Amino acid sequence: MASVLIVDDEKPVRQLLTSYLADRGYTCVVADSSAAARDRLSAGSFELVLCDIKMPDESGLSLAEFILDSFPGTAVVMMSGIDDLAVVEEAVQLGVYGYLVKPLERNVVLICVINALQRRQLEIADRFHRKNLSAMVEARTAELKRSIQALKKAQAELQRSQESYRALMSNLPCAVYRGTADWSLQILNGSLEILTGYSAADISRLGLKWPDLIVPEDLEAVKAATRLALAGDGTFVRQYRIRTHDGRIVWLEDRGRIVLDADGRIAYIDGVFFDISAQKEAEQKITRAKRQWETTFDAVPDLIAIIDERHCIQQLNRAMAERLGVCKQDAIGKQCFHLVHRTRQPITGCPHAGTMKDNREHSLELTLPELDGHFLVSTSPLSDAAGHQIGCVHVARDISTRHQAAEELRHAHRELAQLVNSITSILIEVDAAGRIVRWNQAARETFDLPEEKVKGQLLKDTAVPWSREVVLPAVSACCRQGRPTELSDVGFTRTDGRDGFLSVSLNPIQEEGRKCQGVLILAMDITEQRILEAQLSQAQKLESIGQLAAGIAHEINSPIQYVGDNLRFLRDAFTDMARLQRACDQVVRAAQSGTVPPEVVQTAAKTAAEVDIDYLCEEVPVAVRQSLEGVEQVSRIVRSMKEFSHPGQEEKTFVDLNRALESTVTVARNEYKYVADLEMDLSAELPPVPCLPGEMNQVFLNLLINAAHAIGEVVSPENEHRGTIRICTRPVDGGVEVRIGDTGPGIPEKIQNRIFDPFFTTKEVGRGTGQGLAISHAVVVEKHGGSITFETTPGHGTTFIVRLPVDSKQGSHYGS
Amino acid sequence: MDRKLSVLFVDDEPRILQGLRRMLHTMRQQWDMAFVSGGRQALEVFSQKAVDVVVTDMRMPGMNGVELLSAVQERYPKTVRIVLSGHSDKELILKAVSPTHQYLSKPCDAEQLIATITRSCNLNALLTKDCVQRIVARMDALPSLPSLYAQIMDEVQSADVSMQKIGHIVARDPAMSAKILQLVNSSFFGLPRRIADPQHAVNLLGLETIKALVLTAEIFSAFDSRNLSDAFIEGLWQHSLRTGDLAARIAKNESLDKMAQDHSQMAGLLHDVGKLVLAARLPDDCAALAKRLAARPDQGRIAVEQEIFGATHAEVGAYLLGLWGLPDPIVEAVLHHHSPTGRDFDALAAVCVADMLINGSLSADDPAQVPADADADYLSGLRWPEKAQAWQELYAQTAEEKI
Repeated sequence: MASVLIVDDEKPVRQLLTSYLADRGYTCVVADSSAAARDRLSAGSFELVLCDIKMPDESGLSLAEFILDSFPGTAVVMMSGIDDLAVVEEAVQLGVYGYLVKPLERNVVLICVINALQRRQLEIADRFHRKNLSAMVEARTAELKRSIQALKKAQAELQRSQESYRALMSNLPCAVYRGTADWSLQILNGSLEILTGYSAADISRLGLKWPDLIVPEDLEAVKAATRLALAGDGTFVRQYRIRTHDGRIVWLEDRGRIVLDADGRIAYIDGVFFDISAQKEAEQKITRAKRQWETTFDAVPDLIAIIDERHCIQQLNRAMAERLGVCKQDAIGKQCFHLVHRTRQPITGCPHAGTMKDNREHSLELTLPELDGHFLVSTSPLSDAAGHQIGCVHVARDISTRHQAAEELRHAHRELAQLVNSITSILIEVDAAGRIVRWNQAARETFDLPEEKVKGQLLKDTAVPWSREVVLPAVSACCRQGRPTELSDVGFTRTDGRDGFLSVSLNPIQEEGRKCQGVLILAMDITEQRILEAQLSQAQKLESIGQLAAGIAHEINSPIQYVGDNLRFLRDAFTDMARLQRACDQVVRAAQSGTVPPEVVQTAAKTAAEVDIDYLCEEVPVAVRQSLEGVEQVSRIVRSMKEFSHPGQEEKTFVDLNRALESTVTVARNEYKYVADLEMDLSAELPPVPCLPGEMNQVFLNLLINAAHAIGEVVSPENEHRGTIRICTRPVDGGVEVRIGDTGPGIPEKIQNRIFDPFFTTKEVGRGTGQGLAISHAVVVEKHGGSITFETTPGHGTTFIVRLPVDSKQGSHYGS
Repeated sequence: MDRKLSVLFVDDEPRILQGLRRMLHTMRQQWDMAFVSGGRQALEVFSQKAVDVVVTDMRMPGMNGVELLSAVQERYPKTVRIVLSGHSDKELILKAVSPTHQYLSKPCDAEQLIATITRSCNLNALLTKDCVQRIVARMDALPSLPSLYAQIMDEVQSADVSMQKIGHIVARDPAMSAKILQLVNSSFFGLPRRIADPQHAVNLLGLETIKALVLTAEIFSAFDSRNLSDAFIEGLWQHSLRTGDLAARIAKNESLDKMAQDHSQMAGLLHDVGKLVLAARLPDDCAALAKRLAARPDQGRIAVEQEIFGATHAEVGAYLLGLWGLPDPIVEAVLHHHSPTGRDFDALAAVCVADMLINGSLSADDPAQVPADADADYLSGLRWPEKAQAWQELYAQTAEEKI
């Protein structure tokens, strides 16, 4: 604050003023006289002197005069108790700053002080200005001269600069603009028309603003960029599309700065437009190409990876990532062997290593249990722009299916070969030229000819020990006609030198619509089968004989029993009759001698009574007759048995079926006689029929026994009811018919279609093999070309009908 | 025998009947014969008169032989039942085993037929008491010792059944032995031989037949021991087995032929079979018998049996075995083992001596001492006491068998 010198000869005034001013922060110095004031003034400078007018040594006015003269920068305010206007005028003349009338009031004093100080400040400045003005004018004039020169120079430069600026602006490959907050803008280095195709007139006519040109879908991004710029330092870079007047789409890059006014509102926007359409197009092309490439890369089902020289995966496609069970990001940078094979180093034979070494493609087929497949892995070298090899493109193709198919095919081939060798049938394949191309193990064993001896040979040139005259023409015919052929009972020589039989089937090898390419000969050694068949047939015959044996034994035992009994009776009778004869002789001799003693007659009569001659006379002829009958019965049975079984009869002969049936019912009598009566109605006109008598008798026997068993099911000892078996024969067109009917329960419908099946039987276990009807069917149909059928009525009985052709060659007529 | 033997012949073949009638014309004095052609007619005859022996065919229309004999066994048990058949149908024969006393095969000669019929009517004379006769004639199986019965059932059903084992088991049981001998000695299975060795009999029958007989025809049965003490049954078995064993040894020692040795053994085994029959069928009477014998030791068993049953166990056993057609020497030895006669050393002698040695009534220690009921002359005829030492030694060689 300003320092104030208070000059008054009265001490209370000095104290009062000091207290007023010190309170307001002024520095106060006091002087009780003018002289003291002069001392004080010379000792230091004061901004203000409060000076009493009336002081003993020197008047205040004089002091004021001195101060104003000597210290022009010091303001002086006079104080006096004298309210004398002249004095005041004199003081004002002196140039004092104020005049205070005692008694001094505080506020008046302070206002006067403040004013005086203020005025002093102004006067000091004024004084300073006035003192410097002329110098300034001079200096300014000179300066002005210099400025004018400089200005001229600058003007020239500016002009140049402007020209180059204009050139620059017009040369710039961009449009520089200034925009305003209302989105109107002005192109500074060209016209909007060049950029947009809209003339200024168009714009004003259409009332277009810049955003109206922006492609609507980009607008939001533009605004967002603006907001972003406002939040920051005002600079922005934005890319968007505008639609020009002629409808073109132009990509712009818009770089600039938003300038704000003092109020923080957008003052203007300065910026440049770059037409980046071409760049954008190129970019889009690249993006599209990249996307296409990536899509393709990912779409390939093969496992593709780009692997660098350190085996690190640089890129991989989706197939690979999925197969590995990782996401791409996780796989990239990993070492492929670690990821794929879970090993610490590349596997042996790794094609990648190979390619890295020789810069060529490599491939490897391998099964990867980790990836559950079999793969063909190929690696192609990958170089950078400079041609340095930087890695490989690694393609793994899952060929599991193909591999498996190939494996299966190989397996199938192996199996086929094994099968061909392991089948017990002989399998020979000849090509169209008749050359043997396949010759299996069974062929080798059956004919004792190794494959290497016959393979490639013509079938007709080989020494296969079969009936060549049967097989070879059949093979040629089969190939020629392309039709399968069966040859049964082809004779051949077995390895032990004995004769055997083959069952041969010939099958043409032929693809749809093509010529026959060969013949597959399948043959089976059926010698054992033929032997077994013969044995089985014999066995069945034995079985039926055995079945009959008990009955036949009974049939024979009965007559033997009574023939024996009768003979014993006849023996005894003869003894008795001889004895009687002797007694009678005695009578005769006595009569001849003339006298007949009564005791002789008596003896004779007694003997006659003893031997019961009447009984003997009655019984002996009957005994003889019945014995002869018995003997005849036995002979008949024995004869029938012989006829029935026809031992050794292998060929078909013409047989009187009536007679055959008679002998069959004779031998089987015991099988039915307890349950059934027999009715026979045999046609006298029946022609002889060619057949195997033994086998045909067996058929009749089977049917007869079945009939008896059927009746046995419905008759019982309690009701003493008997059934009837009816056998009749009659000639029919081209053959004969034999009907054997029973009065049994009939055949239930549900088994009617099974009764001719082998081993099918309704009888309890141990009673019959279940083969009877099956064999009968085989004999009638297959061996005789006849038919065997039945008619059945449940509850009433069944009739089997056998039809046999007279001419066995026309047997198909009866085939069922 | 005061009346004629009543014999009924059944056959569906009239010429057989006529032949039989003519052949047996010579027997008309002894036999009262009837000839009918079927089972029903036969039962009609039964209803009209007593029939001692029925001889029937097996397979006949209507009622067959088995059915007829079963009916007769049930209704007329005293009648001796004989089959005369030309059949060899095993199934039918197995069914016939039970109700048939004897089985004859056609053709059968007159002598065999007459002998068989005559023998059975002779047997009838053994048993005077109707009830006993009925009981015995009705029996189709004797009871076996339960443990042996269990063994034989196990054996025939075991996977590795053996003839040897079966023979061994059968030979140790009087009931089984008797039944098996019946089957082979009667010509059920066409084995016209007199067989006395059970093992041999088993072999002849064959495994399948044995199995069928045991399992299907149930020819064996276990003793129902509720009525009798185990001690009695076991004692009887042990005594029978030992007697058979000793009788065979003595027979061998006396240089009898193999057949006679077999007869001796079998007769020894079977000599008390009558006790078995009585015990099985008349247990109350047997209990009474035991009481009487205990109370009056001085009374001879034979006499008391006569009193209670009207027959001795020897007669009952012999009757049954005779009905079953066992060889005569066996039947005779069984019949007479308490009343032997004759001077030759035979199966009867072997059984008698063995029986007495084992029950202690005869001993080499005091050869002079002979049992009261024994015939001293008979024994001396067998050269007792000269043989006493030798036989006593043989006795010592036998051992009581644990059952």
